[in-house]
Parts: sequence; structure tokens; C-alpha cells
Amino acid sequence: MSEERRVVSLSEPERDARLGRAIRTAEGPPPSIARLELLRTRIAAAAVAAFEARRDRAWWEWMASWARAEVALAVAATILAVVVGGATTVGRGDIGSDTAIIGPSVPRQPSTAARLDSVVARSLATGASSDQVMNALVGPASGEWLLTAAVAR
Amino acid sequence: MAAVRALVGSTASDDAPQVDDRVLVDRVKQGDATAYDALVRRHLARATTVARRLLGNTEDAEDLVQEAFIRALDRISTFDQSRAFAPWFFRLLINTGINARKARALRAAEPEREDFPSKAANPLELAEREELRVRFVAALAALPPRQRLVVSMFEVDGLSTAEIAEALGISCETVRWHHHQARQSLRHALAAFRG
Repeated sequence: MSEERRVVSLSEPERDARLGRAIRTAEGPPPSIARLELLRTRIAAAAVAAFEARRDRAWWEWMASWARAEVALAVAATILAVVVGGATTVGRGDIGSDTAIIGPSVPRQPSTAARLDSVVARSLATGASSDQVMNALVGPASGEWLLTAAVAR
Repeated sequence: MAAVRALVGSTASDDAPQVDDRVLVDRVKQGDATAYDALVRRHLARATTVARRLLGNTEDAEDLVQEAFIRALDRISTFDQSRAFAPWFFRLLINTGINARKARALRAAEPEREDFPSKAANPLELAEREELRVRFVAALAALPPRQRLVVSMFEVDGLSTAEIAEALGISCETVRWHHHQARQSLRHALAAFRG
């Protein structure tokens, strides 16, 4: 900042009445009420289209405003579906019957309780290794089980 | 808030002076065209004055005011209602005006004359006054837009530098600097006739 600018910026300037009058004269009279009214009508006409556009996109904006909550709910629902769905499937034995979890034999739970079982709880109960749990969830890593199952059917 | 009040001004046809701008903005956000019209009425006169100062002629100024109000409507959902409407709108108006000046060739600024009754009796004095007026109008028109706005708001509207800074969204120091520069240029134009 230059020295001149620094000095200028320090204090509130005094008003110059003569300069004010000269500017007021140069600017001319303010617009008439009639002219302002005409301009207001122009603006109102132009605003009609803008309001219609706003109404058209209102539903989308409403959806967008809920986007964060929607995403969170969707993720929560997906996790819940995976956990409950996975537990129910394994509990029914749909996957369990195709994949062998090796360990001490455990008597099957009653059917109502078995639906609430989970892969993790079951593996803990049977003392299964992590590989066995993964095999139960996504199938053996070798892929031979898929071929065997396909040939069997 | 004084700056806001000063900027707001009022038109003779302001139908809802008791309703706060923020209430009107809230209604506009919900699609209320009547509330939008009330906002336009409230700020139209001052907006036109500011636009004329920026652009130098009434036709361009009216186009600018219309554009600014429509832009404000388009962006109303981004307006922070914890703040005052007037500074937000006038910043939008001024920035739009400054960009418009850069983007297009303006129609030649014709001095908006008012036929003031003159007390001058002799033709020589009349001629001198006319020449002074023409020179001053030219000097005013030659100022950069922000300088012209600042000096007019300070000397004509009587706003303080802090109020102008709030309205324009710049610092007080910058306002004082613009004012200083503008006043020097205009005084120079007037001084030529003082001898």
C-alpha cells in the first residue's frame, strides 16, 4: 500500500456540499413514478417465466434436499438386508448344505431359531477357521465347487 | 443496518412496509409472486438510481435492474436469510452492472438534463454554467464505476464509508480510497472554472 493510500484510508473524509450538489445536478432528476411503474410491470412479466421454471424443478430440488438422508437410509437398508438376509439364508441351510463347514458336529437348531442364526455365530459355535467362514459366505476360492454343483444339476 | 435502510429507500407504491424483507424472501422461496412484487417495489427506486450511476443512461440502467431482479429470483434459494436482503441484492446488481459494462458496448451516455430554472441573468454566465455542467458530467462519466458509485453514495446520499463498504461488500479503506480518487478527479474538473 502506498503512503498516500495509507494516509487516505485512516480517517473518515469530510463531505463536500458543493460537490454533492454538482453530482446531484449531473445525475439529473430521479426516475418518475410512472417510469418506475412501467419497469416494475416489465420485471413482473419476466418473473412469470422464472416462477414457472422454479415450480417445474421444485420436485427435483425437494428430492435433492433429501439426498443425504436418502443415501444414508439406503446404505443402512442394504447393510440390514445383507445381515438379515445372509443369516436367514445360512440358517435355512441353503448355502450351508452346499458348503461344508468342517468341525465338531452341532445339532441343528429348531427352524425358528435357525432363521435368526448368523454366519459368525455359527462359526464361533463350531470353532471354524476364517477360511471356512469365507467359504461359507462366498464359496471356496478354487471354484471347483461351482463346476461340481453345475455338473450335479 | 443504517446502510440497509438507506439502500432500501422506498417507492411511493410500497404496499407492505411493515413486512420484513426476510419474510418476503421466505415467501418468494415458496413461490409467492406477490411477495416478489413487494420486494421489487421496495427496492426499485434505489436500484434504478444505483444502476444509472453505474451505466450512465436510463435505458441501460432499467435493463440492468430488470436483469438483477430476475437473477435474484433465480438465486433466491442460495440467499442466507440470517443476513439482510438489500446488501445481497445490491452487490448482485453492482457486479452484474460492472460485468455488463465490460461485456458490451454501452449506448452513448447522454446527459440526462434537467431544465433547472436559472437565476443567471446574462448570457455569458449562462454559457459558463453550461460549459461547467458539461465538463463535470463528462468527468463524472469518466470515473470508474465503483468510484462513481462511492462518491455519489457519500456526497449525495449521505452514507458513511462504513455503510458504503457494507453495501458494496468491500473494505472501508477501499471505499475511502475510491472516494479520494473520485473527488480529486471531480474537483479538478470544477477547479478549471474557478480560475
